[in-house]
Amino acid sequence: MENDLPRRRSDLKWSQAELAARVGVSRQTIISIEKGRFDPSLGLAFKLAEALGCRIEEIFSPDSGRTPS
Amino acid sequence: MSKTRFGLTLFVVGIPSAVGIGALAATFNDGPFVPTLVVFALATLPATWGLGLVVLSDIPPPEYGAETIEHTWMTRAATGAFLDVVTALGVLVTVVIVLDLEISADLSLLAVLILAMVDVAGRYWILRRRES
Repeated sequence: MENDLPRRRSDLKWSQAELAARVGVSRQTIISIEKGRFDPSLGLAFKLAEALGCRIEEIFSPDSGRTPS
Repeated sequence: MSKTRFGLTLFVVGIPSAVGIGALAATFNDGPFVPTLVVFALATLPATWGLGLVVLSDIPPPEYGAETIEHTWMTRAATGAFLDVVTALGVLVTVVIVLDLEISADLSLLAVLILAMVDVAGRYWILRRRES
């Protein structure tokens, strides 16, 4: 799953730690999501979208190279 | 966690608890009192200190801890380690029965405990290095 989290977070001038505190997870979790190494749960994805003031599908999208099996 | 609290935890929780466990062990074991107390206290100090750090930590846990990647790593590490321990026990029981060996229960349980802890720690470390 690809995401637009780093850009949206930077637009708001939030650090990874600040975003982590706002959604109630660890900073490492935000780092891993931004690097695409951790797919958040649906609940966490909604929380991130709410914190960033956008819709969930504006942040997350399926891998462009992945084809459905 | 501040250095003060780190040291405070050692002297307030870690050492007294370890010495208490050492004194209990020395009381109920047949060996000489002081050496037994010292050995047990030294062996249990890391665990009692660690427990103190967890209990007296001034770092608030994440509000949604189950949603963090650390929780995911721990779950995956524990699941893998559980399968490893079951496999190891299966092999060990087979060997013991086939060869008609006699092994002491306390050493066997200690070996299983150490295997499980090292396995979980190793798997967690690998996951953290690979995915952070």
